[in-house]
Amino acid sequence: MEDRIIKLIHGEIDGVNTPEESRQLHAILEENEKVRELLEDLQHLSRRLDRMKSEITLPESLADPVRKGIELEESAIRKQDNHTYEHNAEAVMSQSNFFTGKTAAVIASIAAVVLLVIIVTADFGQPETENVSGTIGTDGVERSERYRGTQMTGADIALDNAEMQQLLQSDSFQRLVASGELQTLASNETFVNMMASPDMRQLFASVDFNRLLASPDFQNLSASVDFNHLFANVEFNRLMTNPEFNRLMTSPDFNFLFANVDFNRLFANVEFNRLAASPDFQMMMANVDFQRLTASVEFQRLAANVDFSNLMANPDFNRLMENPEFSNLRSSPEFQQLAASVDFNRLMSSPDFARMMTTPDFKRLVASVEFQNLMTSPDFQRLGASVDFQRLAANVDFSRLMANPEFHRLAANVDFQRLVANVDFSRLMASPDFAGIMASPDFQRLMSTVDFNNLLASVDFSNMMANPDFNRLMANPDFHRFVATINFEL
Amino acid sequence: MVNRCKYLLKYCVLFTILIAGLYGRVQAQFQSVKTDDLHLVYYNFGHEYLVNHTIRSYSNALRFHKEKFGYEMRESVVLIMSDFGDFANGGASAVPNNIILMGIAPFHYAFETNPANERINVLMNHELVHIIAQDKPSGSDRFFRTVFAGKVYPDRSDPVSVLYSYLTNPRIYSPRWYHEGIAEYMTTWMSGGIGRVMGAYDEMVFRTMVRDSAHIYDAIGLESEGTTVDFQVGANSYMYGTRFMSYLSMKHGPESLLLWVSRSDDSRRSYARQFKRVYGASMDEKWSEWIAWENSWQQENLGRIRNNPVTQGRVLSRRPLGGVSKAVYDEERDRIYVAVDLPGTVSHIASLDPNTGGMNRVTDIRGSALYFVSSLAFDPETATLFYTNDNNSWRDLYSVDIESGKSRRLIKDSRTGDLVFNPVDRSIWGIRHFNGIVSVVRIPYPYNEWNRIHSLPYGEDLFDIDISPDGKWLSAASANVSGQQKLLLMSTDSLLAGKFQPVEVFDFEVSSPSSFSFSKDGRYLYGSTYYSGVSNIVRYDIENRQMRWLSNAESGLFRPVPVSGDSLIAFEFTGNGFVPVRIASNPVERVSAIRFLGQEIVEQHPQVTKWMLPPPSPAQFPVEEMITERSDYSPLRSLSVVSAYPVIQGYKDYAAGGLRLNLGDPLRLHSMAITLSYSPHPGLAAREHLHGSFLYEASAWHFFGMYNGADFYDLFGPTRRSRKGYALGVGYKDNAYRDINRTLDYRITTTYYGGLERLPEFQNILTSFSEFVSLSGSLTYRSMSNSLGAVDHEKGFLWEFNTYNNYVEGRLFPRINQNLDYGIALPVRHASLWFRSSTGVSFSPREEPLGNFYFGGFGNNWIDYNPSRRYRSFYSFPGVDLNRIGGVNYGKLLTELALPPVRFKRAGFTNYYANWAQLNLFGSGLVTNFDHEATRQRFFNAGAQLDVRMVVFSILESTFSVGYASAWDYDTGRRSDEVMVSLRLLR
Repeated sequence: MEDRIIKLIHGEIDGVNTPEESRQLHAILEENEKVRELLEDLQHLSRRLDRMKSEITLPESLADPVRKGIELEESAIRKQDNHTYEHNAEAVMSQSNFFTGKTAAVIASIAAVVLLVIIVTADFGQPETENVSGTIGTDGVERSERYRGTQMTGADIALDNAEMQQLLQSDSFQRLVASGELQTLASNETFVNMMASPDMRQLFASVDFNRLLASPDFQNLSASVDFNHLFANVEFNRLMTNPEFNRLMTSPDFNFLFANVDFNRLFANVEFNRLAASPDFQMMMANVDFQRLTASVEFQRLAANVDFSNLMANPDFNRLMENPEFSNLRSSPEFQQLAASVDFNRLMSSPDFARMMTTPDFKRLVASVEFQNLMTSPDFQRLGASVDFQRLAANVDFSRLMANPEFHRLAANVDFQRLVANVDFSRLMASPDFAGIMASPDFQRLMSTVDFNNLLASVDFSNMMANPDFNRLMANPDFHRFVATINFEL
Repeated sequence: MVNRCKYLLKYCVLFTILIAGLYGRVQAQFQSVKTDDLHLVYYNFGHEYLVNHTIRSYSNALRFHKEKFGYEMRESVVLIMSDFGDFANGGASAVPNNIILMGIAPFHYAFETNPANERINVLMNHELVHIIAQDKPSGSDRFFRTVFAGKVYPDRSDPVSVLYSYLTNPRIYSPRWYHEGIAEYMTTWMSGGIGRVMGAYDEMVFRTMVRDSAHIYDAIGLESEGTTVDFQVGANSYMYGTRFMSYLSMKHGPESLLLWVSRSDDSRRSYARQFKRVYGASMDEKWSEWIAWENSWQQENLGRIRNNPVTQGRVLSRRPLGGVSKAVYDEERDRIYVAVDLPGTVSHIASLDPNTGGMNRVTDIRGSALYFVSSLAFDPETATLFYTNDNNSWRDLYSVDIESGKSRRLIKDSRTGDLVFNPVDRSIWGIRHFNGIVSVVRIPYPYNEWNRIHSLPYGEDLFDIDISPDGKWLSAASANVSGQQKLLLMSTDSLLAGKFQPVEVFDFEVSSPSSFSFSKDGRYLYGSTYYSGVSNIVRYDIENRQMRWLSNAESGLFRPVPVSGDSLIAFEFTGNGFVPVRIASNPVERVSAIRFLGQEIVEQHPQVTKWMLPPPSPAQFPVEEMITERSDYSPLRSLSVVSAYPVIQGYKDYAAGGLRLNLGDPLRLHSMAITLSYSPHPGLAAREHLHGSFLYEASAWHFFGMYNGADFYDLFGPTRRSRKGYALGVGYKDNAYRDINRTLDYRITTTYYGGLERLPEFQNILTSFSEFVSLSGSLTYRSMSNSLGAVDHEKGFLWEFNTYNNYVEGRLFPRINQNLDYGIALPVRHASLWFRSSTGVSFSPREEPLGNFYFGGFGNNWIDYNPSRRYRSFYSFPGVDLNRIGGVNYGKLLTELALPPVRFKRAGFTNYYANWAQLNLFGSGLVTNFDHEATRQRFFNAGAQLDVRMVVFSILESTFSVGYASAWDYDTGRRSDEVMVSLRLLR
């Protein structure tokens, strides 16, 4: 018989086998009767030895000298081993085998027999040996003898998706089920279709998505009310399906911008919000000339110019022309360059621009410190120069979103900023799976349903979203099948 | 004729719509997985992780049984996986088809009454023995199964089916101890020695009976009395059965049991006759032999225990408490609170004086569990006791104020037990069972939600937890799939931080660390263990890491409650349940071990150790290759013929012969019975010779129809159900509310009748119309309870509202009535007093029979299948003829005294015996037509009814009733008498 098998058997009896080793042994036991017999014999022997050991209950007066003697002997052996080892490794092996092998067993047996003879011949007031089964410690407690075959271990039990139970057992998940929201959705055909869609499954199975969901930033964010409101927002959902937005989200510039304090202050600015909500602003944002202009270096320089800001804040443009500040501005090289640019001139002649310039909101905005700081920010300048941003700026949904107070609150949220700066989030945004989901009519229909939005707004669902098991569950085809059943329950 | 056609058409449309709706509703409620030998059905995604493991465990067990019993599987077993209760359970039946119901929750380990090893293997090993013991046929069984198109299930509406059933499956007509005994015996060896044969609890039960010279039942007494008067009720069947089987196997070898149980071509139908054939002696003789041996065996064990000084506790209670929960100590009031469940008393939480043993009731436990009753935790600051109700299903968390006794539900279906109170933050901790998984949960104040702390992998259990007084440590007993059990300690801070890092305190190996709880100073953990084979109290010194034994008990000591530095309260097992005792809290020097009958079997017949099954490995059972089909389960699609057999019926005064066809689905969710019979007697009109009926039951719905409906019991009378004419109807019944011992049911039925000559409800009343439509409904609230060992409800409240509406040729004849019953338990065990009232009013003309209520008679048939105590029905009035009293309004009051039942230890033979007899006395008054003096009737009566419950064929219960009543007409002074004799078949 192989040494490996014998080792496994000993390990099993001593209870030191790893689950893998136990599994290996059980596999061998199933096939090899001899191994089974050996295991049973050794187990029987082990039990007998245990019993014999426990039957010998020495009085302390006798036990102590014997114990000390054994300790001294062991100490001597250890010392001898160590000493020999210093001289010759082979000799150590030999010595070691001598003391741990047969000879040791013979010595132990002789010692046991001698002790037994002493015990039997001396009257130590023991109970009848017939009735003694086992003891614990120094107490005369006998253990009853009860046959027990080698039992299976955890390694012998093969379960399927058992890790899912960690999720199903959680109070958050069960509250979600108890709330009825998941069940309501289960009767929603769109949701069921979504769950069954390969895109959704791929998304939930994607590494990026799972890494993102596992990130603390996302977990914090998903617990926020703003995030959930935003998820329920129609414009946001439309925007999420916009390829330009997705491209933009993946751009480092955009991420830097989101992390920019001024940008966030600006978002919190009332005037900016009013302006962003105005049709004029939106039209202007859609104006090609304006886009070109904002992309030009000159404009950016000008925008960063304090005087220009002051100018823009002036209520009367005609009087402005006579204003000493304007003279200063006009004499500035930046203005001259700008004025020379075709784009500027086109813009200045644009009716949209003219209308917007007359709005009080625009004037107040331009006069605001935040706007000025933002305009001077390199991040904004880089972003403004990007084609994607320009295209996006012309997008109506983006404009509406920009006007959405919830989005502003979210944008000011540190977690959201971190999320946007998160590489996984960017990757996810750029992933075809995510884009596929976002572009799918099912998803869009689902996003527009009250049930789904209720679910998204629930704290329990947010907690669940942060649980990797939940994502595995969502990616599980069997779960979809169950969700589709009319009496879905967990 | 045109009207009739219109009515019928409407009914057919209604039928079609309802059946179509029903079909839609039941689609995809269950998922089905099939192999060649198994049809596994489950309904919950959360159970799916166990499906393949269950298939492997089932196949592993089946392979063994096929070889051991020579079983050839002709019909796959339907296995329903469920999680309807918080603790593992199983059930099996082979008639009309092989079916196993498996609860996947962990076992409870109270007093070590259940094995701690992997439960699905245990359940499969056990339940398949039941299937084989019931299903394995001889040649003649197979012949009759062919003749009757299947295995016949006894049906009370056609009691001749009992005979057919016996011919197709004789071994189901064996007592429970026989079936459970062999199942437990086989399971023990298939599990490598883990099971009841090697069980310490069973040894204790019989050892204690011998010590106390208590009555050890014979086979008849066990079923008639032993499983009802003892607090362990049905569990006695398991214990006695296993013990008797174990004795036989020790004496005659394990193979003798297989010969006895395994049905073969040359075996006897009756289990008792086969016994005699195998063992050469009657069962009575062998049973007596076993009892004599048991006495001697247990005396030897008692002798071993008595080799060392035996712990003598001071008994605190005047009478045993039955089953007991973990107890908690209220230091301020010096009281111990413990949930108790004993025969004759509704289970409750008792407040026990540890000095005098005096007890008070704190609150009732609704839905108490056998053995552990309920789970308790105590908040001393607010004097609030937390406990669980509905302990056999999904447990609810309740609290009760000790001072006021006022209780309230905190969390329904919390599914959490093993409660313990953390005094530091006022939270409750507990162990939750869900989807077969064990979780540690924390229930923070104000106790309206729970938080999962940690979920263990499948197969690992925690139980009997406690929290140290400083709230820093949580102790728990643990068990794993190997059956290995340990005592653990965990830091509560770590647990709250999401770290599950238990420290092993003591490895108890094969025995369980039971009910360990911290001492007041947190230095010790007190608990009990069967380490020596006898359950003794032990104390673990946490600092010195030392376990010390504090008792050397003869029977067994459990659930210690340290009440002072030098003594503790424990519960000692006696033949009548647990008794609180006070013992000294000092270590004992020596504790002797006892011998186990199971070990004796191993040593005398070591071949049983070869019966152990290997693990159900995926290599041995490649499930994906074994699966032949995965699909949704549809009861309608799965309907098939279950059985078909000849029947005999009565129609008016004539007999009829015919055939009954039964259909059903494997899960028994839907069933259909179609009966056709013919009365050849020339005295009947030609159109009345043929009779037919059908009944289709599908969950809450039932559809029925009849043509010249005939009935078996009309062969005997005096009540007749057969009616000329035809009917087609549909009904729906369901629960609007369901809780333990409380239900609110509703029922609605509509029927179209045609060609009638007598009222369907009142046999002696001729109809004035031949066709009509009836619509009836009822709403019933029940809150009834009884104690262990009761034969009927012993206290409670019932309110019922009924409405009956008959629609005839454009006219509606509505009637309504309501019944109100109220009962109280009397101080005498199982005696109760009931007040039953009924009032009704009809909104119909007095002269119209359809609009009247009718009363009279006991209402029982000579041979019957309806409830025996029909004198309780509003329409009965013993002492006067059936339907003799009538009226459009009425009031009735009945007072009933239910006397304690007499249980029979031995009255009859192995297969035929009496269980109990109960005498009920009653008196009632009835007034009809309050509003019309000319037709007003006033009657009084007094009577008695004696019911005797009998058992035939070991399992079929029937009730023989004798009643007598005298009635007086108040207005005329005339007296009439009635004697009633009735045999109610099948219960």
